Amino acid sequence: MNFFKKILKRKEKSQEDYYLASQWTLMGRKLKKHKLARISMIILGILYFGALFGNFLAPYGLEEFDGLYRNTGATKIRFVHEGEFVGPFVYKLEKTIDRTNFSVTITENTSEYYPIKFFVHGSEYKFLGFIKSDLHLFGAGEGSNGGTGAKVMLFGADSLGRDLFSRVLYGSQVSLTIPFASAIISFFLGILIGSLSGYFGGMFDIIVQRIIEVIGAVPQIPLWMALSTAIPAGISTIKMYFYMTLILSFINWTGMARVVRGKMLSLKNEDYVMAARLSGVSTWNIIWKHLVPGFMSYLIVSMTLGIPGSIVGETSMSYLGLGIKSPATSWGVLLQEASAVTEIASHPHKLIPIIFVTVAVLAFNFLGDGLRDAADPYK
Amino acid sequence: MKKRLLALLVASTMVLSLCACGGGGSETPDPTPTTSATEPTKAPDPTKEPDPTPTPTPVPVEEMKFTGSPTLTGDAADRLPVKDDVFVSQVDATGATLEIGTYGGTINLIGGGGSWDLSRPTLETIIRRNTDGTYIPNVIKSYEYNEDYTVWTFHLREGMKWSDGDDFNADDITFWYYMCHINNYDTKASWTALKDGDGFAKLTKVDDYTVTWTFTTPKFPADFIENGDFKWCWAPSHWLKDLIPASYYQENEYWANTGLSDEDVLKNAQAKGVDKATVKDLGKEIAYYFWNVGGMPTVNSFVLRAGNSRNDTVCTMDRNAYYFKVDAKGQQLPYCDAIVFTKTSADGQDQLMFRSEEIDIIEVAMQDIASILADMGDKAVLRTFAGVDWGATKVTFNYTHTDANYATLFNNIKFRQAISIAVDRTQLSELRSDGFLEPGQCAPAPGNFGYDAEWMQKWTEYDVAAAKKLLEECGLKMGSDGFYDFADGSDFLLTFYGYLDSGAADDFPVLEQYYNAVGIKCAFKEYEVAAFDMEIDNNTWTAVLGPHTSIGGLSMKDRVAPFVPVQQAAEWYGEFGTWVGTNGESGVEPTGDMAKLVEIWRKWEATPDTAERDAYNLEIYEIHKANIWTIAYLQGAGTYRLVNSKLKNHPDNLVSADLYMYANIVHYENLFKAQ
Amino acid sequence: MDDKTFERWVKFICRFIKEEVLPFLKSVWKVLEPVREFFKKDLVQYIVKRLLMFIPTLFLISILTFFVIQLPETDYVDREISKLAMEGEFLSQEEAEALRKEYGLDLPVWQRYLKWIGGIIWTPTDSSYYRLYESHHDWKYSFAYGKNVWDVIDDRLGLTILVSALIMIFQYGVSLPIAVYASTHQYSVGDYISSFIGFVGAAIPNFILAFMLMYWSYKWTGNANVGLDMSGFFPFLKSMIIPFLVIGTSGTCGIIRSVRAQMLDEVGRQYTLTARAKGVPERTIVMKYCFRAAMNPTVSGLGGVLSSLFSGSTVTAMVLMIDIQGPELLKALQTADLYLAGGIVMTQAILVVIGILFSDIALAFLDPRIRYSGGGR
Repeated sequence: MNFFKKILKRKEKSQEDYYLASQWTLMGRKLKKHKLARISMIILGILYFGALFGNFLAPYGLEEFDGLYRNTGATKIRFVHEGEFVGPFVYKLEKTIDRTNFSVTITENTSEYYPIKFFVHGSEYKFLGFIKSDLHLFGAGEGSNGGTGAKVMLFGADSLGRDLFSRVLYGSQVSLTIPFASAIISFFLGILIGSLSGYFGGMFDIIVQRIIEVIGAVPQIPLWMALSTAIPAGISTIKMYFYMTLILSFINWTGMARVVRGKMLSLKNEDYVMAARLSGVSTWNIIWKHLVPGFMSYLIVSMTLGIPGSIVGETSMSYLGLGIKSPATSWGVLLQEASAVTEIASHPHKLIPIIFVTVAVLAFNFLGDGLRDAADPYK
Repeated sequence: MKKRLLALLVASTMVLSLCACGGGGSETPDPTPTTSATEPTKAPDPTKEPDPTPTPTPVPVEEMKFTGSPTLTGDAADRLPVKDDVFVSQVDATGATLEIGTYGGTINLIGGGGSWDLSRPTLETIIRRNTDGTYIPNVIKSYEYNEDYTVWTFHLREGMKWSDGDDFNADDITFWYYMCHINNYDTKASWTALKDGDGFAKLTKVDDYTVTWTFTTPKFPADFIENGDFKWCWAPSHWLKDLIPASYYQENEYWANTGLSDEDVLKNAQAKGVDKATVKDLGKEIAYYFWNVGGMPTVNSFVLRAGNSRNDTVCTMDRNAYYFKVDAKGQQLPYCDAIVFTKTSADGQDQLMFRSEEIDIIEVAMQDIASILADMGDKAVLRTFAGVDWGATKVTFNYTHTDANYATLFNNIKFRQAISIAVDRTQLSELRSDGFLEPGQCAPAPGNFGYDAEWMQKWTEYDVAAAKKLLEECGLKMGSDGFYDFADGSDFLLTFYGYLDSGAADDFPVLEQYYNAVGIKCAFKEYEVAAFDMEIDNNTWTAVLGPHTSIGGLSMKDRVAPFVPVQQAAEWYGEFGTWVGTNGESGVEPTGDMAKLVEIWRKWEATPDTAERDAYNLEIYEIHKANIWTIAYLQGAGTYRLVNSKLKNHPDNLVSADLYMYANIVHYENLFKAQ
Repeated sequence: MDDKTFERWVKFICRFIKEEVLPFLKSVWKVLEPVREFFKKDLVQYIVKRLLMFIPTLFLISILTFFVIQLPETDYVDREISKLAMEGEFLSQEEAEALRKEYGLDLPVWQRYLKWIGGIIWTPTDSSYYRLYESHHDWKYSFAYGKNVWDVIDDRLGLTILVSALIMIFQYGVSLPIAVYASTHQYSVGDYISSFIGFVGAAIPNFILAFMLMYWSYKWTGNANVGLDMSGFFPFLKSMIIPFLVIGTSGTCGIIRSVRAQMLDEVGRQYTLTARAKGVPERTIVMKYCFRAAMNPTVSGLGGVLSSLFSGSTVTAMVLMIDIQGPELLKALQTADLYLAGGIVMTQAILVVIGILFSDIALAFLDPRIRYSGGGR
């Protein structure tokens, strides 16, 4: 952001700069005017930061179960213990089961307090996949009387007593990157197929058009189901991740191809293309060096706008049991676990992941809108 | 709780003892024709709270004045069997006296769309079972058998009618047997109850209300009238006459060939509102799943309304106006006008609709009971069904694994002990059931026949060090990665198989932690159910987790496969069962204790004597106790039902088992809506 | 608004296309040369061309769906065996093989495909299917229902079309005003708020929104049965509120964006400036010129909207227990009920293709350039 601002500031210095500014600079300048887009960029920045440093920010690991905390709401963070200010701390929970009335009562055990500590050692993880560490930003320390087992769960716990806050962070590592990765794959697929189809036309164009039409006309659910049955059972999370990306891009490339083809059709008869062709530039170079850059900004816009659809698509796949499966976590998995009326009624804290999905989707949408407005050369 | 356990104990021992000689003596087992006399009379339970309503004094049948249910006008007597043959319903399935009800209202239930869903609350069967283990003739008035068990006689009720008013008589039995069953039109000619050696029993119509079944070899009650498959032996001949194609005809002395082509039959069925694409599908529907055919007459308490289907979001079953049972005051049952089934989405909508009183009965998990009851106050009551499952969160290993390393390891009893004590059952129960399910082993549930506290607690002590020691005694060697390898250095990976929506996927991450802690590397593969079954059938699996066909159940008569390896059905004996089931054609020959089980079972099968059968049963249990082929970490859960308190006469302390046809034991015809 | 009405309506449409549209086009093409001249030659040519192009599309769709459905390694019989086992019944190996043979599951896939598609296109009069159902189009039969696929589809087609059409009307009804407002008040607070409302529906996953609304409906009205109420027109519309909110709002986002973008383009055009300079009222400029031009891409997106409606409504319909085709399709796919799944996918695809066709024709009327360039999609 700062980098961006600096560029913008420098460029605003003189009017002359405006005429010298590149297409991208102009876009950036116009983007600044779109307030929502700017806010969205900040929000997305925070979300991706959270995903990147998720293992460090999350106080607990993905498989730290705790029967005591099962389905409990957010841990209350307190400051005053027995009339004395002792800094932020939590109490440990206590559970009593009444088998005759089938009731469970959960209370706080106030005899002992557990201060919240920063930079604590917890479960081990590999930062960025290779740096081994067990440092977590915060966590509940030892009790005032030396007790252990208290936890601090900012968003409460799921049905296996796992920390929802940690799971949201781990989930974002999947939910924010699969759609992004698949958008990039469909971006390249779309450009390649769309430009060839638009530039050459003829039989190839007709076939591509039919394929696009077919994928567009067939309901998505059988496509998802069929493609995910092609995923072998019991594979590792990483592979599952890879397959999911491929599935989403297989379905999404058609939109991009259509845009590219349309642009190709309108640009290929322009004089400068004719000139290039006459001076012996190869077809490949005409497409990549002269045509595609001409509407790259549009493509980036449609790529941005394709991401939110995939984020929501991933959650639907999880709901149908077709996507990432527990214990691996994505936002879709979290929502699927919350998707029962009983959960909504008795454990509303499990709906917190919706906020993240909604915010991320809205942010991508507004950013895309802002980019679109910015890329409009007539403004 | 105690009360229920007591009832269960009585129930299960009696199921095994009383049932076998249910018909009584050999010559005339049922001297009194009135059913009220054959109903079990039970001593009042001192632990039971006093009944809120005064107990109605039973009126002798001779003095009863019959009143018909309000669906049809006209003389009630025309709609009921002749006086002496009316079935009088006075006690519920647990033996408690029924309240006299009032007519009207509907019973609102959750519809699932499964092929048996509509039959559970409505089906009337040959005999009717009670939870105290007794059974009495139900649709048939009485039965008897000769000294050597070769001739069975069924007596029907005089004047009994189908739900459309047509007479129900011996012709409907011969029609079912010769036109629907032994020609396999109902696709169920494989029923063992009516098999006589390689052929079929001979059915003879003696008069309009008497038929006999003749066998060449003895047919014991346990294999005939008590057999779980043999639930009915009638079909409405007047309605089905034009729906039997010539292609299915088998020569018999009672019914002539209809001469109808397949196309004719399908057209006739269309005219009756049954749309099927092939005669095979048609036969299966009208001759087997007949309760699912809208508008088809039955003798059940409620009949599916014409034009309705179990697949509809809402479907209705109307009162059978010609139903053959009356209450103690002589009023014709059922009380309610209809049962309405509404489909709900799986995820808790039923609980909301129960709270809003749009649904009268729901099943809930233990964790949800308290909150609903708190919300509903006295508008709902809890009804419990004891479970017969031998434990929850079970794992089983493939004892006939094709890799010798695995097979040897799994067959080593020390390995199973290690796996059993490697898990902290208390924590597991906390995580999976909020602590409601008690730790336990795979053994008969408390109150069931064969319950043994020592067996239930066998290998349940959580001990990591001991588990590691046991694993090493099995010959496993600790590898460099911190996990055990086989003695020959090859990798040991314990792969669990489970199927979708079984809860196994939620159990695995918890169990994995414990297994890893004792040095066992494990993995989990989740399949769609059919694919899962295929892996089991093909013997390509290593271990299973979660619900699967396991050891145990209510009784060996109910289903024998869960107790002894004689079919290709359950995981715990794998290919051993295939070997016995196919007479050694395929599979692996059982040895040791597995072979002993088969041996005892053969003796069990050959005797009609209940005491002897019980003794064999206990012998089989002893072998299971010694081996623990399936490990359970928690004790099984019962079934909990919440019932809207407006709905009266729903019995409590029931048992949920196939033998009782699950919900059928509630007897919905007795339920009524308080005004 | 009872089932009969839907049924009649659907049958009418199908018959209309089969008996009226196709012969009409054929006759226009072949016989009535002068009428062709009179009837704008190029438009008809365009329509016929589009129609012809849809034939290979439909064939591709049928092949894709048929083969895709059979990707899982277990077939219907395997699943039936598992289902029976759960209900305490057993099927022997021989019985299973016999079933497979009967269902034609022992044939190679391509043979099964040819039989299937052949039957749909034309079933001769002397076949038993024709004698029983008096139809030339045999969609084969559903294993799970034991019924003809067309009967199963037919049970739900009317409601599917009705629900989809209503939701589509709702989507356009909500999103067009928002889009016009947002584009004429770019970067205003109103623009942000209205876009936000339009986008939020797409941002919350349908299934969870449906659950939340179901719960709130219970909280507010004490009624947890949120299925469709077919007792009358107004109860029906009332019970459509949740589907409107869930399915409808998930599609508004796309429409708002494309119309807003298009409007912004048009507002900046020369002709708008000219009109404004000539003193044409702003309202007229926006509504009469810009909006009309902006409708072009909207109309051309009709088929896509329909397709996403079919997919988007599936999960919601599962949660809300609405008897439309989506959940049925899912069930058929899960139980490997081959021909039923294929049949539903085909009918949905045909509906989408018809939608595209209509939008193409509408576009061709709106924008003559398209007819002359011979297909600009």
